[in-house]
Amino acid sequence: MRSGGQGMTVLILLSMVFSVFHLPDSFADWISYWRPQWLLLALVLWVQLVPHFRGALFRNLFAKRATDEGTTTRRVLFAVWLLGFYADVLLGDPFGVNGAIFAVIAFYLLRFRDRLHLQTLSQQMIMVFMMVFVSEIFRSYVHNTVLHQEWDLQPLTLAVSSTLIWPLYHWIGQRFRGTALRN
Amino acid sequence: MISLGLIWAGGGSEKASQNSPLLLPTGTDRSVASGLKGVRQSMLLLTGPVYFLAQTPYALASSVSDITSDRQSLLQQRDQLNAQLLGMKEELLRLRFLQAENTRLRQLLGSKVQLPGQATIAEIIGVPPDPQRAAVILDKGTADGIAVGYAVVDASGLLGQITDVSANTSWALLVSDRNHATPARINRTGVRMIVGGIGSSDRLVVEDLPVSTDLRQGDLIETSGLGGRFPVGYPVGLVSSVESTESSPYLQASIAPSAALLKVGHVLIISPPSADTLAPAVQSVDVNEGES
Repeated sequence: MRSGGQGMTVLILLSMVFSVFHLPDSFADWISYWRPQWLLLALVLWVQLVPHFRGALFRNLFAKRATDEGTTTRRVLFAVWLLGFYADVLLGDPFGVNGAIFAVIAFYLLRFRDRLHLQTLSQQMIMVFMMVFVSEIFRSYVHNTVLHQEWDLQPLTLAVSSTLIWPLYHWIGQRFRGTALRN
Repeated sequence: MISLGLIWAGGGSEKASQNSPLLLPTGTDRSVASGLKGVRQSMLLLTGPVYFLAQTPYALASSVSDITSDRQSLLQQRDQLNAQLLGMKEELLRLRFLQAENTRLRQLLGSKVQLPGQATIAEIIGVPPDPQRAAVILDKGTADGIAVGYAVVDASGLLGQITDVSANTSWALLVSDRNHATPARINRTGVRMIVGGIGSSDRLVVEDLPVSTDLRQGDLIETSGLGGRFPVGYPVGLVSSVESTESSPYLQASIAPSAALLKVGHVLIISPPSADTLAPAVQSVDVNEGES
């Protein structure tokens, strides 16, 4: 359980690094339109595994274990909302955008937790596509109104690339779950 | 905070006034906004390590190429740099003479002498992943005396300005961003204008210049220093095309930016000329004094 929790913390940190990683100048501009939403995927994985994995951040935030599901939900929503503020600063987004996206997605995942547990990998990929697509439309809307950016195909391209990367996260999640069950 | 942090226009651009309804009006809201600004600034400090980590492969690659480069190529490089240095020194001598002459002429006219701001060398450590955002993250912050509003230039021209700063990192908005406007002038004629970004790294546009203005392809556009944010005379770009249509009273001109906006490397952060550096060179003499 402990090593799994640490692995999750490392995964979230690595996802942050990947999400700000930039390709060399020689790479074509269009590649940046296909960057996966690493941090969002790591968060989806964490929320799916949250009763097993609390992670360093979560352990420090809430020292006492939650006894009922409602408390867990509230705590997870609060934690991802806080992480969203950090993501805003990291990615240079207006304050609150990522917090809202993360909290809504975490709520959805927790609310339909039992149903989502029965999904196959392909069904999960469709779910990831829809979540990234809708959240990127929201982000584009905020960028359009606040930062005067133009609408483009990013919600679609980012959703496609994130969906294609999801099996990797799914595989990592299974390894974590395996570690948790062994210990 | 969202709105306050977003008004980055260097001068009185139309884009800035479009933004202004977003400004929080009342006192309470302002204190909330400034509180959030503090939170954002301290969080920016925590993002530094993530950007440093993301930059590690490039740092490693450059140190590996430093170790493996052979003696011959290093000697060749040294000779090249020596030749370049000699050329620069010669240019500097001429520039010193011109500066002294300029100061004397300004004294004759009784106008103020503007001293250049202080420059700090910084390295670009990150680029925001969104291709629509024209910004870079630099490795210098308040600890090095950097503040919001400082101009950023590279070897060939104006790059942008600092918009967010923490203790050891800062964000610079590039001139090509949609929210950036640069007070500029035509080097040949001195006509002033506002140069705006459109989100493209190879094209800036001129805003609201009447059709009758003398603007030609190939003209050098430089910073005008109006607005007090950018120092005077830094190249912004070269005019790449000028068009006028009968339906519009304004010129449609595009400018190719001088600075290498997409390259990653070292830049200079320049503090704006403050009020006390604008000391008058000579006291004005009242000619009527003797008669009264």
